[in-house]
Amino acid sequence: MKLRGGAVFAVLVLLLFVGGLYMCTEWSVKARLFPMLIVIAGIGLSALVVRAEIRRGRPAEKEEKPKQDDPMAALKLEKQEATPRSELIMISWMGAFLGTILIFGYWVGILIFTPFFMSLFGHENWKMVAIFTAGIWLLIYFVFSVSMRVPLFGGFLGLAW
Amino acid sequence: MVEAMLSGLQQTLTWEVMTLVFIATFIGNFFGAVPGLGGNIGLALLIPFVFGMKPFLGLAFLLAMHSVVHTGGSIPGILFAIPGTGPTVATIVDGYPMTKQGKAGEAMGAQLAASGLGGIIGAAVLAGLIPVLRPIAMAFSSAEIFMLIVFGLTFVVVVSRESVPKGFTAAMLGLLFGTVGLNPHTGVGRFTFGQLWLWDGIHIVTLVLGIFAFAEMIDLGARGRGARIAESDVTMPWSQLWEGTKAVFREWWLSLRTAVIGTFIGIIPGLGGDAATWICYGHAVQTCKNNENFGKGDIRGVIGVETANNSKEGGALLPTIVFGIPGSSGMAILLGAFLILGIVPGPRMITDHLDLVWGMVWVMVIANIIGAVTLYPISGYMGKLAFLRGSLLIPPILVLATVGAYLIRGHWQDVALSLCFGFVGYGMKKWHYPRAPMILGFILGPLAEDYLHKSLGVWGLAFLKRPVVTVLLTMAVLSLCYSLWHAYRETRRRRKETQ
Repeated sequence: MKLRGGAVFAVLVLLLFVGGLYMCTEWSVKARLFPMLIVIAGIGLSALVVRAEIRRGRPAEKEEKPKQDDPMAALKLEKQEATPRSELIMISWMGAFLGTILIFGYWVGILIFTPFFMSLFGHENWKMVAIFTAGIWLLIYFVFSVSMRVPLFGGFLGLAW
Repeated sequence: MVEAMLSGLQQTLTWEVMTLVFIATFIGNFFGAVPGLGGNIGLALLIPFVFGMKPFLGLAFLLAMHSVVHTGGSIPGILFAIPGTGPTVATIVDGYPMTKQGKAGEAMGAQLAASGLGGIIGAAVLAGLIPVLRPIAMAFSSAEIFMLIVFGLTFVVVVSRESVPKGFTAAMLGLLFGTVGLNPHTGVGRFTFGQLWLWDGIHIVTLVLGIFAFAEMIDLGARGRGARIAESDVTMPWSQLWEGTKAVFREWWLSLRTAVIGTFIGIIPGLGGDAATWICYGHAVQTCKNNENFGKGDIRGVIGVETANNSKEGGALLPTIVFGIPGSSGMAILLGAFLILGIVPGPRMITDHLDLVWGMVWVMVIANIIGAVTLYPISGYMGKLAFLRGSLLIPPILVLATVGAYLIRGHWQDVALSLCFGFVGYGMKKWHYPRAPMILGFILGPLAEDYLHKSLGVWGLAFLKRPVVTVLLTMAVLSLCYSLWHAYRETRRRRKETQ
């Protein structure tokens, strides 16, 4: 039987609570009283959700297309566009963004990620890419570095000024 | 009382505060008008900007921004049937048909005037309730506050219409994340995995940025590279804007009623904006004569919803500042921001810092006036925000969100953790786990634990026998049972409909 994504997510949540319960047992009674109440309730509730998700099974067919005169139609159509592949791509982009920031820091990371994302993911023209990259960099520079004088993360390479 | 009121006004009418309020209303309208952003993300992104500000300046900035989010949020709703924020969904029911009938300007005029008026009435009701709450607040000890928090947590059911177990699971996750860090009562490091940066716990901004900002950006990007919000253009003559504005004052009795109802719904923690707007819409349909045009483009539908939309923020601020129990998810984030600014919400706000509370009331009034007035000339352009492509919106939001996550404590680990919460938030959004209970649990958890230990330390388990505690406990149990029964009935009805 193939599991739905919802069931997998619910199982992960359940495992999180079970892990929490295991860790609670190592603390003193006063320290574990409150977390233990939470994880026990969490285990019960997430088990209920897992059961409900498994019983629901896989969706039989896609939802009916909304009527065009329905005021919510546009919203419903937007919601249907995400696919597992597009989700994976977007999550990878997020991971890439985090990696860029962690390695190169904000100042260089913004200059790397923004043009790559806009041209490879968004297929934007180079003028738009240049304007947006410069705009975001300058916004961050003037707001945080010039006016607020807060140092931003320079990455593991230490590229900060 | 009058002294505090005047002192609050004096604090507000300084050029520093007024400039910040002015800027904040623009930002609030922007975040409201861009679908997928909304007030919660706006607040989370703006919190880093208030570091180092004087407490009242930071508070005025964030509160002004939050007060007007729904004013801008209704614009794409009326023009393109795309709600900028959750509670503005009800505006679409009559606003969008009006646009299709060529009356977009009239709907927009009514929406702006009703939002401004609703916000002012909400703040006035909040001001009127302050003297009543003062003796109540003073009578609350740690035991009563603990039970009030428990009572507040039972409202999780109300915001979990789709699935009560999922709502409670989300709340438990929030409570669990709230326990991370050194326990102040024992000094034991809980769920820290030997990591020094986790000793102070998870920061509210890290969590909120993750489950709202990052999750929404994943969702927007996953819908395709050029995911646009709207594809059609709309024109808006000035005469229509004026007609819509006049309609709000012509229907003054409806405006007043829905604003007051909205405020009182806002007071109930966890009930939130969606409930306020739909209840007020239902009230308008039930009480207005010649109601056959509701749902087909009746301006009274727009007025009823919009007055409630902004007035409920005044109500939601009340439990937030007086009891430290956020009246909505936005207020939960605001509560976190208050703590960052060194303002500790609770009964002492009414007894020791009344001028600050009055300052908040004035900020809400002024922000609502500025928010509505400034939108008149630019409302047509604001509507064009709905055309922004995801590929243009995602990079600046990601950069601002990660900067926000980093700046709260200067740990790069917070950025990574926030992104992890983004994946959790996206999973919650995709599989219909309500996210507001998670915030509610995260905020209320540490408070509940603290007051529980204090109560146990002073009275032992006998704290449960205190009269107000008993009443609150009974109310919590009744509220929970009623909500569960209501949810069960709703589920059965839905199941029957699908069969």
